[in-house]
Amino acid sequence: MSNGTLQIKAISGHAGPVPGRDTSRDYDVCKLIDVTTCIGCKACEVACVEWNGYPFRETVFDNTYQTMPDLEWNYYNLIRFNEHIAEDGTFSWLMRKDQCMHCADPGCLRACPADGAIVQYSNGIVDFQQEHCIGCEYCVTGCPFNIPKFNKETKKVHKCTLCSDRVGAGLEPACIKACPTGCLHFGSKDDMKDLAAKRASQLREHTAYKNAGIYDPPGVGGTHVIYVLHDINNPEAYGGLPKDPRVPLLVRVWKRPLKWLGNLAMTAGVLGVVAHYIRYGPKEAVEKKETPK
Amino acid sequence: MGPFIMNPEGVGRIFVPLAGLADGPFPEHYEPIESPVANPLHPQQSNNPVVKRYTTGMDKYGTVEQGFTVVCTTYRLTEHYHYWTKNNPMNVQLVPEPFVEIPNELAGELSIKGGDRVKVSSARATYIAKAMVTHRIRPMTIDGKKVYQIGIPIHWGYRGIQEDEGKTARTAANLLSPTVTDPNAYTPEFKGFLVKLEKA
Amino acid sequence: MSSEAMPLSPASVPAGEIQRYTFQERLCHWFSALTYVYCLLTGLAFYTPYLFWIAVLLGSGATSRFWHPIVGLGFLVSILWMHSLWRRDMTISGKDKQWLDQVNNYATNRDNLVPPQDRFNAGQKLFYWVMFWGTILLLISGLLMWFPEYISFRVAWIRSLAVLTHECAALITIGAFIIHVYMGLFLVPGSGRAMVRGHVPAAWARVHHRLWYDRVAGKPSST
Repeated sequence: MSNGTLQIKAISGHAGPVPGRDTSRDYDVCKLIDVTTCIGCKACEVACVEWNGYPFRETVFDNTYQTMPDLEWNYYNLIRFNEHIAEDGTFSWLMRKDQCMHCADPGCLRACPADGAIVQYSNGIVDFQQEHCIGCEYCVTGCPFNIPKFNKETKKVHKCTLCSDRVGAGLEPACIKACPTGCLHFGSKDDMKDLAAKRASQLREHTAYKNAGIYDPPGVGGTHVIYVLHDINNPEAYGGLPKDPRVPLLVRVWKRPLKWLGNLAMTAGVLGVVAHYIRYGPKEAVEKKETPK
Repeated sequence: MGPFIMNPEGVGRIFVPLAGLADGPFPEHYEPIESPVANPLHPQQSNNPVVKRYTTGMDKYGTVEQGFTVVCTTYRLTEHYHYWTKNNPMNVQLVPEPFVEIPNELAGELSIKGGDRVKVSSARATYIAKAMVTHRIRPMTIDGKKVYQIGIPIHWGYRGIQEDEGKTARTAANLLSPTVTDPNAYTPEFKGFLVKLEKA
Repeated sequence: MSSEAMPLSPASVPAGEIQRYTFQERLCHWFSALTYVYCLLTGLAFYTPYLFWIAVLLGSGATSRFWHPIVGLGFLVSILWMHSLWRRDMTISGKDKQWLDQVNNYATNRDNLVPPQDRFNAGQKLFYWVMFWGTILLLISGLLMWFPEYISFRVAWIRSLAVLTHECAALITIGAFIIHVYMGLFLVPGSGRAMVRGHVPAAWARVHHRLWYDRVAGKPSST
């Protein structure tokens, strides 16, 4: 959803510089998810669906508390439940709120070819503008977290907006508002990092979670959704949170060097044949032996 | 004013006048009416002698000898508010169907897989739902015996969105549990009773 | 189409000319050209933001994206059709090696140094095979790009590999296409007309495809 009150600092598929690229009107926002205090009540899922006005759907029982196997185009937010048995036999039931991570270096935005279909606001929110989306799903390929989901009917891609419509109006995201345990926090990135660091050190000092830490992956330039995890060394246990997410190498090759090589090669090809014509001219069907030049 | 506004004297009590409590005031451990073991503290009086029982035809109690070897407990889920939310689509979406949580080891013994339909029977009724096989409930060793526990979330049983016309009406989990109540507060004993588990 | 349709009777070929392409071959070629050019234009629009205006010109970004893979399948059909028509003519033989040794002389129009050629010269054959295998690559990678959500995230590298492959294969065919269009329209006068009308002057055939001319000259057209 577009939001006029937020300043845009990066646009997908855009030729030339972006208005507002260097502005700093807004400070970076951040959602902090302390998975150690999540009780899996899914209030955030309901708040998300209700705020975005998406309908009730029929789900099926699948031997888990998880609402459905994966996010969907109209389901931006999913608690992933995992029964994890550590190497030493310690059992834990892990619940992680999965949604768009709002990377500082978004792979979706890099991959998108449609002008203005994906924007990054100067407060760090990465937002899809469905009216400019062409439905190519390059963002699905570019995302290291497997977040964007395609609507087959409208041929548009959707994902969590970090409630840019609410944040733009000075409100917190809907999921934050609904959380009953205080596991979700929202504020400036600096504040949330502080809070996360305090919580992680509290866990390390006073509980058995000696590896508690903050998930703010540097491979994508940090994210505007960060986690406090019991075990920072094993994020995969939380329903496949990648250990070191990066924009896929092939996507980076495709979007930068290959693009310019290709542009250069095609231009050179066209100029080359023009030059050839000027230099050698046409092959006339004249039936006489020419002497070599 | 103190916190004990329900007492005429306005203060807390240790010695209770006029038989104000049927049981107490000091705590004592009793086994539930249906228990896989005798009370290790005093096997002669295993359960509470002043528990409130009813005497209808439904008020029957099972024993291990009759084949009711599995301990069953019932509870609510964080997604639900008692039974009310069965008419709220969002809550139905979060937990679409009733289920029975079964420890991995017990499921293995009975070759039950997640999603299979299982039948839970007590001395009073039967309950059929899908199995959720989990590592979260572990076998217990009580008085030297290996005892399995299963769990049934309540929320289903009356008509609701998931049980509307044309769909199979579901039975209530509380048909399984014994209607015996604690003599003071009348809290029913729905947290521990004996059942049989089999594939349906 | 009228009774002029294939196979062209020798009577429909003007005196002094011989038939080069049947109606079916020409139809196939232009169907192929049309679908390829559409995919090329829309593909370029998705390729770089500086050419995204092409997509807007052709309806909208979303329209272009919708038709690109479907028209692409049409192009695949045209290539398979073409393959059924020309597979034999396009087989690379030992004589093609001699031509390729002289490709410098061919490119600089010293054609008398270039050995005589059959119906298609080695350059045309190369173009054909580049387009054929390019299309196969474009098809496989294109299908993967069409439905990336069905590729498990565990093997997400397949998604990005598909995009990269599609782009590289497209660039290779574009290079070949530029040369093809240049030669057909500008470098070899008469070849464009041949693909439209179907026949060429006997002299043209003798100069450019001597072996083919010797094979078919004087005989009723059978190609």
